[in-house]
Amino acid sequence: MTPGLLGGIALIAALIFSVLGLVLAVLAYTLRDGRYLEAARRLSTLGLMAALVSFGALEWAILTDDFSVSYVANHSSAHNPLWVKLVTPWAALEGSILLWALLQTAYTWLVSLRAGQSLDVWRAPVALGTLFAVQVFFFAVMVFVAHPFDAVPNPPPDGRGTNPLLQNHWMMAVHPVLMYLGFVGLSVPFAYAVAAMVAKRFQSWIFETRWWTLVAWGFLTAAIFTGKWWSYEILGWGGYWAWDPVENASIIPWLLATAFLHTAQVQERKGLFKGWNFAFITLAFAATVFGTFLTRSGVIQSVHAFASGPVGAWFLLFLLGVMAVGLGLLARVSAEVREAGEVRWISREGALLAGALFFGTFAFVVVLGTLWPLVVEIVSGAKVSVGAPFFNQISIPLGIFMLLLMGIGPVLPWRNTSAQVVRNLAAMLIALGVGTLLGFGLGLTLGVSFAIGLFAYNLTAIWLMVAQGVRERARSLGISAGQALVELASSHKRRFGSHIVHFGIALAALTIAFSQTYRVTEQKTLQVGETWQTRGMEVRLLSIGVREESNRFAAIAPIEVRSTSREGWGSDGRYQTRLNFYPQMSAPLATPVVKYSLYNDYYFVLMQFDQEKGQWATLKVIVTPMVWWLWVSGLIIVLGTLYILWPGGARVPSRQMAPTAGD
Amino acid sequence: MKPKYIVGLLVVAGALAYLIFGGLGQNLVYFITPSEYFQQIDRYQNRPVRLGGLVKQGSLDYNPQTLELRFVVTDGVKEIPVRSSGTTPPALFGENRGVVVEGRFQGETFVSQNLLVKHSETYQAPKEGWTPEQVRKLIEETQ
Repeated sequence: MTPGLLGGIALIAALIFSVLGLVLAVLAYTLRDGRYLEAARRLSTLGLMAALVSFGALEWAILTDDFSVSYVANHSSAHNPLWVKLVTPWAALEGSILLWALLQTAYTWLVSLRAGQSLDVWRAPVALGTLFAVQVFFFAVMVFVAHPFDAVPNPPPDGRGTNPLLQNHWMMAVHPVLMYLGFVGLSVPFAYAVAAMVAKRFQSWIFETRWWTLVAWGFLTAAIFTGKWWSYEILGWGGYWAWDPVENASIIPWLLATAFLHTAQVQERKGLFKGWNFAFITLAFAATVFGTFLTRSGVIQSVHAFASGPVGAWFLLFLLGVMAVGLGLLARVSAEVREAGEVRWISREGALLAGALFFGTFAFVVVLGTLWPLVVEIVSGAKVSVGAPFFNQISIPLGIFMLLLMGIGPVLPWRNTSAQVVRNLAAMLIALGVGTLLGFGLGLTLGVSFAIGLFAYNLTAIWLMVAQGVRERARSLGISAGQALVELASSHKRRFGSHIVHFGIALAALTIAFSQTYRVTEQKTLQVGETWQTRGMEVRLLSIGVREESNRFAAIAPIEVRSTSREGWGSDGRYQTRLNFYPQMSAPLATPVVKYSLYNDYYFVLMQFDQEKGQWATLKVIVTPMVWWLWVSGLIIVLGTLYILWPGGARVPSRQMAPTAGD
Repeated sequence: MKPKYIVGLLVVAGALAYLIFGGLGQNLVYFITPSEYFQQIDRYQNRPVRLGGLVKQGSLDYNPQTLELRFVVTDGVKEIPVRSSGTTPPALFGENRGVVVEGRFQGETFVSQNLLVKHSETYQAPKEGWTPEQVRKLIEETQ
């Protein structure tokens, strides 16, 4: 059997299993018969196995250079190194849909393990049925429109190769997978929401859904940060975020899922905001499909359009289907989920709702900005693009409000305010003022000074909350503050985890303000041996050479850098700046060398070199402060999320040891 | 709903609308060809524009020592001189190839802040006698 045949058969099997699973789930719901549910659960296992076989067949075809498979012929090459071959399945459209479908079957399988247990027998068939329907869509797209295993009648001796931009950095092995894990992960909360609305069980779904959403959110966050890092390390312009449609496609579901994570807490505790929660979850999942539609259909031009193809119309239909199901069901049950009580704005729940509304607004604005070129083209026929300045202009005020709320929200108690809270707020505002003035005193710009103030303000908020809890516990139990902190942190994992995440967000905002304000770029053509004084550095071009590698050919210009003043601290070293030439491309790709230090980042790019005599090279130097800390903040956020999700006997001991512990 | 909530909501919605539509109006970057520029010269003065066209044969002048780049963008009918300083021609940049230049008009010359040449492996040079519309389509497709 050839890999192409095996993969094709496995795909059809997966499609059949998904259709059967959907039918059985529907039967289980309508006939109220547990045997059908049991059968549907088994089909989710079969679906996962078929998808694994199909994905394995694609890897097999790529690893054995089987160019009779269209995907391999179009997107791989016998000369690719092993790791590039391993990641080639998600380097183009058909393969990335296969990865998506594989992860979908994995999530469906995980949910099927819960069916009949935490997922009760009324909701389980609906949740599984929804996930099977999603699976049917992806496998049908592959079988009928974007088949990865199409046979090539006359296999070429070598494939066309993998997109060079994607094989220039090992992040290719990490970022796309994380992104898909996050995107696909949002299908589970959607399925739970649909199940809750169909079965009219409006409260019980929220606990487990919050957990699933947090898992997907963690993956999305990690994906967004690794994506920033990747684009920073590879694209050679010294930035990490350009408001490109594909970047927007990743941030929209993230924002909506964040909104849900905040309002879900209120429903868990107070039973409020049921309607909001259903809406946010539906929109978050729809946004993942929307993003895929945008970037795969060619409707909007994007630097990420590696994988456009004929699937746009299908994704549009699927998007409309998801919206229709989610919002249609919500409309049907809207009378039953109406709020029972009034929400006070100056309370924890009020702050959480306001925060969620900010996230929702932000998502809406990003959608609007992304789609605006289409609107203008339809209305006036002019070709326009919405520049990054628009998004920056909108996201700065929204971001400031969100950072302010992020500090206030957790400090405010549920329901009402007290004198203690007013004192805390005063302390936070003082920190805001002192931080801002400090920034001014150091001669920083207004925006960056205010960012310092906001950071201090949020830090103060977290400190006050932690310190008060620790003090009370230490006093009442007569233990040391350190012991009280450890006990509180392990018994209130959600609260402490959210402190960690919020700290990470505050730090990220600070680093973004610094790096966006104080980035400088210098460029110069140097003769070999020449020294260039710039930005507190002495940059010396040592030589220019070339090197052959299996899949490419590289021009390498080693440079030596010495710092001469404070601005260049940490830049010292020898670096190999290079331009990579790929046979598939007629022009080279620059690979920047990045030297991180605790304050400034030094970024060296070989722009051009003397191809005839090898006597000169044009170098670009970009100095950006605090980028390293942005990656640290991403890590902190992901670790905080893991801390919340980490299983452990968190709740039981807290009840035993401190029956009165508030929160 | 109480009237004070409605008033608050309207204020927020108004602020948001101002922010969005004011921002969108100012930050729209028009994508034009040289012919389109000459149809509405005033409209495109002093605002960010993406100028698309081909680098005219024989017009490219680059000095690697001073990093000064000059060339002429044409769509087969009209031509616009472009000046760009402190840059390096990006990959795939060359005569008779499609280019998108981001910048502003300063009088007769277009001053570029950014050169965009999207990577296409299936590029074909335009042939004699193409209409601007065909050239534009070619540039859009090769992006």
